[in-house]
Amino acid sequence: MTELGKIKLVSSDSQEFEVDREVAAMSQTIKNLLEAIEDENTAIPIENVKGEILERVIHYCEHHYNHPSPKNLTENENEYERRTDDIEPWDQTFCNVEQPILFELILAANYLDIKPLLDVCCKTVANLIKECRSPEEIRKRFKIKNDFTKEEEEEIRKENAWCLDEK
Amino acid sequence: MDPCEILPEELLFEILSYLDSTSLLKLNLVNRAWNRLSNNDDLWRQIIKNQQPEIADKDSGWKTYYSIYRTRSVLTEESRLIYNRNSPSVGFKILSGNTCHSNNFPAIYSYGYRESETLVVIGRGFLKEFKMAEASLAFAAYLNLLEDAGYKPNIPIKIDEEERMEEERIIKNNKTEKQK
Repeated sequence: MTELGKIKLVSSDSQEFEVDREVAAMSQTIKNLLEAIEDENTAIPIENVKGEILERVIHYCEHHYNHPSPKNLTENENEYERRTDDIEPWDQTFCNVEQPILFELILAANYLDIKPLLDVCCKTVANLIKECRSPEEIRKRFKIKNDFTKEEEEEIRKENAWCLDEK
Repeated sequence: MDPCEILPEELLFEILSYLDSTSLLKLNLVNRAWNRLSNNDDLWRQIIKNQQPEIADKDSGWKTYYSIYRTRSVLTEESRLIYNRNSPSVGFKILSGNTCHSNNFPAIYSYGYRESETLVVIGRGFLKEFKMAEASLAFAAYLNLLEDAGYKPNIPIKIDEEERMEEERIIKNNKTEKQK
């Protein structure tokens, strides 16, 4: 039996988590599932997410359920503007994790359909790229293998020569 | 850890959509997979739309367009004049080489290949009070611009004399009609 107003989530590696129904419903995927099942006590399997990651996701949802972000009043800006410098301090700390965990969080947020979590994680990765001063630095940071030949690299440099004066 | 190895493409694009042109161009040089991702036209479309929200939608060529947009500073006096008279939007489909309309480059009505290598330029002078000569000048400046930007269009320009006469005839007719 789960407590009143609580539901049970089961991760892919069979870890169980008891969560407030309303907190869990911040995930659109879970919300849809909850609407479909009648028995409140049914444990909900979250097949694509490991316990370690699910625990973090729940932590995120609980925090934001209790501390709703103030609605951004300057929302009517250019719809094409995609800022990355507007991550709340709590979220910054939350996203300050090893890369594999950050990527798993992105996958989980996408699967569970939690838009704000997805956004904040993607922004964090974008910032990690932005901080790099050169292609080489990006390769190092993400352990990416360079499979270009010298000639190909030179060719692309030439193609992009128009931006050389950019800082 | 290479995000390419763990995240599906839609999520990689979600991340890339937060990047500016400088970062995308750095990613161009990282490796083949990242080069392909960071050249995605939708990303460049978004970057341009962010700076010029009112710009009309196109099918393709946004990155090329952006390179031209960025290179405006290297224009000569003459071509700058042409730029200022119109919007900074220019036709970018030139690289495709096919006949097509270039609505965003007001001086040019259409262009395409005729007689194999000769590029034919038809101006839209009477609409914007551009004379054919100006149109060809604008187009030449545009090609120079592409070359300056590292592209080598390498197309000999020849204005079609018959088209030009026809054009001037229309302009004249328009003027006479206005006077009536």
